[in-house]
Amino acid sequence: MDAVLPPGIKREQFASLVADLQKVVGREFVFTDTQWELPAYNDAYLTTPAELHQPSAAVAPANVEELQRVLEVARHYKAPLWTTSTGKNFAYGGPAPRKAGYIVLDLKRMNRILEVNEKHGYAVVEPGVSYMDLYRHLQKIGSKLWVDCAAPGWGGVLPNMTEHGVGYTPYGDHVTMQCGMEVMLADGTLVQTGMGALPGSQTSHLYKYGFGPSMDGLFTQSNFGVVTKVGMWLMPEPPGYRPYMITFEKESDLHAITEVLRPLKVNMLIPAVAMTVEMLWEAAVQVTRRDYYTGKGPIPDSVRKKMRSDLKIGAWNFYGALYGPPPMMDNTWEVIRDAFASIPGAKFYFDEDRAKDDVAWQYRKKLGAGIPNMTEYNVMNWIPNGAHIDFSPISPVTGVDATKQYELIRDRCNKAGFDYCGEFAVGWRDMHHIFCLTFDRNDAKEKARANKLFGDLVDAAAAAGYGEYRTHLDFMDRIAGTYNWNDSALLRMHEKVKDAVDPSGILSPGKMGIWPKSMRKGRA
Amino acid sequence: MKARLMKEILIGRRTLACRLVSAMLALGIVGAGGTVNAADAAAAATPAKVTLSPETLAKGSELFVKNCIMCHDRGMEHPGTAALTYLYGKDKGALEDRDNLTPDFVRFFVRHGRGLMPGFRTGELNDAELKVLAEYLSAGPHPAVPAK
Repeated sequence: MDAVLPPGIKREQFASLVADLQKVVGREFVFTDTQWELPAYNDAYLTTPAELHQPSAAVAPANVEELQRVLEVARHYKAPLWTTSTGKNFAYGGPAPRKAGYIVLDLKRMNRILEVNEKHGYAVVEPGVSYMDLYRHLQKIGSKLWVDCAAPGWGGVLPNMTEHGVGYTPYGDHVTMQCGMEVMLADGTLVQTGMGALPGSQTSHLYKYGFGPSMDGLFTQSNFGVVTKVGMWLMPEPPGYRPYMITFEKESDLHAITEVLRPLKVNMLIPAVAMTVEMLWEAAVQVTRRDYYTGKGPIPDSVRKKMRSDLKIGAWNFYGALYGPPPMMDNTWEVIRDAFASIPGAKFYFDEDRAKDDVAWQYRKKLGAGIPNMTEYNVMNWIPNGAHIDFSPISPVTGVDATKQYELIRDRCNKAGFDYCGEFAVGWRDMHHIFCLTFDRNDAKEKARANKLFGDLVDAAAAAGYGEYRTHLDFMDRIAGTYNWNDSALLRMHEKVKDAVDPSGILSPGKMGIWPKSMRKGRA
Repeated sequence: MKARLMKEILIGRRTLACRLVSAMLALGIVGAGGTVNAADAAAAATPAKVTLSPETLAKGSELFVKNCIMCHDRGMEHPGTAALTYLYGKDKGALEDRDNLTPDFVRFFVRHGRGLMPGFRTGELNDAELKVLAEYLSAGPHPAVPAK
């Protein structure tokens, strides 16, 4: 790959910028080598040419003092920085910047677990701490607190929360479980939000809202500051954990499953994020497409039927778990079982009913107890050179919406020649529909088709009143453009905030469609 | 699969494997987001075995557990192992079971990735650590390490 420069910066200025960054973090933590250092900052799962997202450099500060000085250098040169923490936000762009030439601000070295509070049930972490890091630490110190992890366990505790990620235990809504935040503004000011603003506060990680406006949300999915520390509530290990799986025979059962599920969720009988998983997702984590079908286009129904029988899975597969003392779990289970038994063909499974080598069951069982693992990445093994981007619209928890969304995506997906692979994740009142669009990363035509399909889905979903909760770099402007009520009042407000807190426009320009004034022409 | 195995048998020299990786870099055959299939041939290298000090072995194993084992532990529930099993066959799926890895080969794929594996950044695994990790994997096969 050829070297690129930050937008608006000449070669000699860039050399001086790099030298200044080296003075701050040391030569070994400014990366400019295009052969050995910068390739790992690319997004491995791009559907667009890598050149569009190639950084000019990366810089990795070790602490907030170094970060402060990095921001000073960036302001001086008006150099755009792109913040990444653990750098594993794959399917949404990984560590790659929104545009070519940005300098990646890599916070992976800021990876301290600052506190584990057993009594009150929380941990305080820096941006570079992965779920596995925290899990191993808790194991090492003999903690009885659980992690709640994203499915890819190498992801980061802090950045997954700021990206509005979810996990699979009752603490799965990560933003809800965040309490207390330290953030550095573009001018280098370090701010403690909430109770942390009170010197000597004992409740920084116990009460979320502090005094006055609650600011934390401004720094999630945003480019208004650099989050350097968060408190995350951790769930105490419950007296009992009993994960279960319910399989359903018919594709059309999605409607009934969702209707049965809603009151169980609203009344908190199912405390964790409830997953209704389509059969192909279950299959893809344990077999390959070529094991069953070598033709082109989506796999036919007859083949799907055979896979379901071989793998003992349903057309839809519901995952949940019981938590608590055994008598409580027994009672709750009766309600849940009776509710889902109203759907003809429903089959119920506990751990003892599934095989030890059932890859799909075993990793879901781990996720429900917050044990980080990477098994879900197996979905990319479905095809050779598999990569994926995720399309994830939000809808109400109703059978009508679930079916409408499923058909909207499935039909367009099949028409474009891809297999539908998706799941519905139900939170407090919402449903995330996650469509995992898997494509061959070595096939340029297929990547272009995937990119086009994704764009078509954004438009079709928006036309039906559905918006996405998160997205890949390449679609940030397009999706931000769908949230356009009242002449894009929300986006215009975001821009006002951006101009006020980052007048130099150095922090992650274009993140979620928010551009600084100097780059607003770049908005699609 | 047969053709690939043949290619691996034919290209069975460590030095050749190193040259291949260097040449591919120079020619830009492998690179960010690009195809790396040609580099698979280098996996066939038959390295001259080196004996590592107990300290290097211990450190290498520790780095493997910290950085690699989530995807490359033994068992098809690990996506790296599954991917390599689909590619090379059952006995070559888990990296610690391999007897034909070379330091240059490991270094190349750690920094550039392949298939579903993204590259690892210097800020998360530095060059000195990568050197030890590469030596460790090149000294394989290694006995099973329980996942932590």
